[in-house]
Amino acid sequence: MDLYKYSALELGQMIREKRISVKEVVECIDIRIKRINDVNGYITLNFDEAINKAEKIQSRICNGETLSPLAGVPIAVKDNILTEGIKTTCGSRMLQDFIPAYSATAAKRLEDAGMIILGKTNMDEFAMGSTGETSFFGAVRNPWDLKRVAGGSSSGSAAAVACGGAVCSVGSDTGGSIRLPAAYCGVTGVKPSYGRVSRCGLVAHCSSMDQIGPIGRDVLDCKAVLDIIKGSDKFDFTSVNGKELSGYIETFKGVKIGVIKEYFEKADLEVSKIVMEAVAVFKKLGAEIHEISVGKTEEAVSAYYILACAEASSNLSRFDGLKYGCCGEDENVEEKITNSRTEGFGVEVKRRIIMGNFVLSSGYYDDCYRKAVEIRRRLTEQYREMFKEFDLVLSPSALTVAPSVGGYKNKRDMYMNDSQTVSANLTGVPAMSIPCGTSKNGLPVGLQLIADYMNEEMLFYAGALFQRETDFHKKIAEVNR
Amino acid sequence: MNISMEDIKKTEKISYIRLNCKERNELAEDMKFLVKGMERLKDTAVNITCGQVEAESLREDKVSESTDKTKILSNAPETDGTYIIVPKTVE
Repeated sequence: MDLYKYSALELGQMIREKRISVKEVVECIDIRIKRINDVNGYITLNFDEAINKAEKIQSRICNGETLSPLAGVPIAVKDNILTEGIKTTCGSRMLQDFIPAYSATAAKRLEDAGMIILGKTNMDEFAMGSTGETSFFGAVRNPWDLKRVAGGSSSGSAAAVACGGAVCSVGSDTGGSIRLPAAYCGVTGVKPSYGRVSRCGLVAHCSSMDQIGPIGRDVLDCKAVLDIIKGSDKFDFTSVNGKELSGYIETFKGVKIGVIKEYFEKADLEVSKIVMEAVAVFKKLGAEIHEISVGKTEEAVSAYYILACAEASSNLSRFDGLKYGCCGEDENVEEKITNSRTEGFGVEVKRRIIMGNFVLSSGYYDDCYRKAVEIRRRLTEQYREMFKEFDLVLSPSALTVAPSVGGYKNKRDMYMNDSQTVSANLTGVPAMSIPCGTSKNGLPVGLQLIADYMNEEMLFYAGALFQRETDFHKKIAEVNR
Repeated sequence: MNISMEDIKKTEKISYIRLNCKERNELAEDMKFLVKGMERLKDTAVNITCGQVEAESLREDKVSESTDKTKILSNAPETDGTYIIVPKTVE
């Protein structure tokens, strides 16, 4: 039985009803991972430990314990989320041998709910990248076309789900890092509201925007995973319980949806057309559709990169190679640290640390950093006003379908590709990408749904209704060489 | 806003990172592109008091069990079994 083709909730139910064993599921997905090796979606596999855990969870289920709807279901975890005893590299040479002494709150909650960590997924180094090409462990390939990128930075988490190398996963999203790979790989990915999921144990990139979120083929799988990892945590004072994620609605009658004009105009024509067809599905379901404007997107991208680099430069200053991580040689301590960081970090990470320190330095702080903060404040106000009028906002998740590996001429083009996604991070609102069609050359297109702060419920309503009407989310990539 | 090579070299030094010439030139171009977006706000007043999330509760400040020392030391390049050995920083 090809168990990797089932949804996570279906597998959970089959396990509870004892129609299949936890071990069978783990073994089936492990076999599938070996077949899709060319995708390069995993950095570390945890098969032996996963089998041990499978036996323990099975006996607890057989003893009548109720753990969660996903008990016994394997999950893949992005390699910047700490997992005690399992290597956590952040896709970097700096941490290639690092074994965490404790687990992230999100990882611990997954295990407490009876989920089994199958492995750690490949990613852009320290979550800095939009394509999945900056990993020290090699680029992640798109399962629908191996010559194309998977998107980043949660590249492996999305790619593995797209081809059955996992039934669900968790990633992290700082500027689109869950939604972009979800769109390129044809899966569902949710960036929760800032604070919805604890960041304790998520290796910090940009602390004011980083959020852990679920990736799955099915919206309801994502909701089930978020239900497990969400909520206040004493180890992250920015984490909150927020509004509950409750049931479902049967109709979209009277729901007001805004369609962001600029995001459609900037996107590739074919992508815009496919996403517009998806918008029509909501109209058919009874929603009111209105065109809205959010102004120039370039300012938001500039502000995002200035703030993200500034915070990254501070967060990554801890990597000096002295206490852990890649250790350079020299008698002099300053030279030793410089050698550790120059050898341990890849080019993109080094560039962003320098950009961050530059915008925070005397003479540039007022011109760059403070103005970026101002743009963020204005955007947050604009979004607050927008959601007084609209229940949901739609746009394409990405400007194009997945580009070719090495396809960006320069970094500026890659940065601009984040223009569809960064605003949700700057303003802290939740957003989701769901597959909504396929281009002429067979590549997935993603629809982005954005809701008001802590209103993930609306994303799940809309996503679940859309997936009831369509079957794009049911496709699984075969991975042809 | 001008960004000189000297500015970047100075920032490399405070970042404890070395770039090669090609990397430095590319970075200068990308930085100009990013700060260009800010220039439009040249004469705008900046209100820096923005924050979205209020802390729901803060941890009590009390001693509790910490992470296992052996596990932490196992990631260090050099230890004496109790402490991490680092290069001499004070003459």
